[in-house]
Amino acid sequence: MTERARAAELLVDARERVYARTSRMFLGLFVGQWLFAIALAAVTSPYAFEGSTRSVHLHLQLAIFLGGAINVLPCALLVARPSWWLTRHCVAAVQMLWSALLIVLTGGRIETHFHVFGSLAFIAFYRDWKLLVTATIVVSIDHLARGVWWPDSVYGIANPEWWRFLEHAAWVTFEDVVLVWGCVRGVSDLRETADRTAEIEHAKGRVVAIVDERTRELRASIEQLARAKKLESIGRLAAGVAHEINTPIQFVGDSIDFVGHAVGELVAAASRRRDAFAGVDDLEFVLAELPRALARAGEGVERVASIVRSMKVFAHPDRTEMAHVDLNAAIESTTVIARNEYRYVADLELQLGELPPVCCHVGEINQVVLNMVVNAAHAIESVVGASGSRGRIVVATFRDRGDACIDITDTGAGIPADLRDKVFDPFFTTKPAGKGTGQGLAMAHAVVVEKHRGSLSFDSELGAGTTFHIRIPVVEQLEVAA
Amino acid sequence: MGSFARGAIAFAVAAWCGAVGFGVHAIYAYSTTPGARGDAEARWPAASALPRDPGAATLVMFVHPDCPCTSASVAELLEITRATTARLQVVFVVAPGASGGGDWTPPAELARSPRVLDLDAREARLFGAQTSGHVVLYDAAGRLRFAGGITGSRGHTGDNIGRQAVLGALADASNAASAAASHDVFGCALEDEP
Repeated sequence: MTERARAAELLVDARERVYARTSRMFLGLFVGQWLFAIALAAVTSPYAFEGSTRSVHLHLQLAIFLGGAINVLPCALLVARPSWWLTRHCVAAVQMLWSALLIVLTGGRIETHFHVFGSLAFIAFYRDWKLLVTATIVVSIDHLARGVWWPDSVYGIANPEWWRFLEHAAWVTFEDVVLVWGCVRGVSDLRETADRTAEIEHAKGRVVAIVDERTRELRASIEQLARAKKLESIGRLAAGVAHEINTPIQFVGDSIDFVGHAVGELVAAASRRRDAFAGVDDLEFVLAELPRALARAGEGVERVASIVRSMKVFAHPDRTEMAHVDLNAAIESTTVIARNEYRYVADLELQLGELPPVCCHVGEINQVVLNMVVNAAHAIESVVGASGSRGRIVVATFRDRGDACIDITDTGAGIPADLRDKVFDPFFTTKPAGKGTGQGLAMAHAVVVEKHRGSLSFDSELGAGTTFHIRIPVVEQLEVAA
Repeated sequence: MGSFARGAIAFAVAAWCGAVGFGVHAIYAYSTTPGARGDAEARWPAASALPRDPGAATLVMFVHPDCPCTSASVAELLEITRATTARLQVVFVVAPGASGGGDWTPPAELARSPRVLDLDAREARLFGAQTSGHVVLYDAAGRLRFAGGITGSRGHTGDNIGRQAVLGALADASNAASAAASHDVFGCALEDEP
C-alpha cells in the first residue's frame, strides 16, 4: 500500500471515529432532551382544565409521545449504524425538530431559540459541513411554515413581515459560516494527522525493511564466515595432506623413473638372452607389459602429483591478505579441483590468454571460479540429464584495457528473463533442496564487486546457455596494493 | 444493502414522518383552536357587582386559577398596562377552578388591582366570558370597546391582534363612534361542561 493510500485509509478511520463518538453524544443528548421536555411540560403545564375538571395537558402528552416518536428513528439509526451518512443527516434534522418542540413547550419564548444555535454547534461536532445544510433547511422550512400558519409561535408576533423567516435563516446561516469553516479546518487537521501518521508508518516500514535486509545480510555473512572457516580448516588440512603426500610422491615418482630405466635395460638384456629366462612363464608377455605397467604407474603418480599441487595452490590456507598471483595458474588448479563436478556431464576447455599478475585474494577468486564452474556443471546436468550426451564449459581469460577478465561459459538451459534480476540475491536458488544454498553467486558478487572493485555480469540465452563475465581491475588493484 | 432493507428503511422513515407530522399537527390544532366566548353587553351590565371607576376605562380579565395559559394572558395584560397612557382600571375575576381560586394572585405590578372570586360564574355570564384569559374593556362612559383574548395562541406570549386592539381602543377611548373590537381567546374553560 502506498503512503498516499494509507493516509486516505487513516483519514477515513479518523472520520469514522469522529462520527461514532459524536453519534454516541447525540444518543445521550436525544434521551436527555426528551426527559427535559417531559420535565418542562410537567412543571409548566401539567394539566389542562375545564372548570374544576382537569386532564393531562397536551404539552405533557406531546412531550412524552411526540418527543419519543421524534427520537425513535434517529436513536435506532444511532445504535444500528452510528457512522452512516443517513444517520448523521437524520440526527441533524431531528435536532432541529427538538428546537421547534422545545420552543413550543416553552410558550414560544424567544430565549428558547438559542437551542437552535446550540444544536448547530453540536451538529458541527461531526465535522461534516453538509449536516449544517440539512439542519438549516429544516429550520428554514419550520420557520417558513409556522410563519405562514402560526407566526406568533416562532416570531412572537401575529403579523410578521413575509421575509422574517429569511431574517432568522440569515442568522442561522451566519453561525453556519463559522461552523462550516470549523468543520473544514477540523477535517483538514484530521487529514494532516493522517498524512503524518502514514509518513511515520512508511518511514518505520522502511527502517524495518532495512533492518530485515541488514539482518539477512548479517546472517548470510555469519554463515559465509562459518563456511569460510570450515573451508579454511579443510584447506589447511588439505594443504598439510598435500605437503605430506608431495614428498613421498616425488620419491615414488623418482623411484618409478629409476625402475623404469632399469627395467628397460633388463628387458633389453632379457630379449638378447632369452635362454637364460627359459623357466619364466609368458616371458614374451612380461617383457612387453613391464615397461607399459611402469609407464602407467608413472602417469598415475604424475597425476596424483598434479592434483596435490593444485590443492596446494587452491587452498592457500594462510593467505589472508591480497597478493599478486598468476590468475591462469589459479584457474587451472581450480578446474582440477572441480573436475569431479563436471566430468560426467561436460567437457571443460581452458582458453587462457596473457594476463599480468593480478593483486587479489586468490583463495576467494578461486572460490568464485569454482562456484561458477560447479553452477555451469549443474546447469548442463539439468539439460543433458542421464541422456549420455555432454555439454561444454569454457573458461577463458584475457586482458581488456585495465581489467583481467574471466569468462565462464556453459551450454546449460540459460536463465529465464524473470529470474535474471534475482540471481545475485542472497538465498535465491532454483536448485533442488540440498544441492544449492543460493549463496554462491551472492558470495561471488560480494567478492568480485565489493572486495575487488570489479564487476560481475552475465549474458544468457534461454535454451542456449550462459556466460558469466568477471572483471578484476589490474592497475587499480596494484595502486591499492602499493 | 438489499432491496428489502432499503424498503424497510424507507417504510420506517415514512412512518416516522407520519407520526411526527401527526404530532406537529396536534400541537398546531391545540394551540390555535380558540376557546368558547359569549357576547358581552354593549354597555356595562348594571347587574354586575364588579368595581368600576367612572373616570377611567375598566378592563376585566377572567382567569382560571389553575390554567397554565393564564400566565400568558396576564403577561400580555401587563404589556398593555405598561404601554398605555390612558387611565385604566384592571379587575380580575377569578373562577374557582379546581383549586378554589382563593390563592390566585396577579404579578406584583398588578397586585393592587381588585380581584373578585366568581364562585357561581355570575359575572362571567354577564360579560360573556367562557374561557380563561377573556378580557372585556369598557370606556369611562361604560361602552364596550373590546371583548376577547389578548394572546395570539394558547399559552403564547408576544405581540398579537388582541393586544393591539385593546391598546387601540384605549388610545381612541374618546371616540364614541368606534365599534367594539374582538379577538379569539385561548385558554381553559372557566366552567365545567354542563
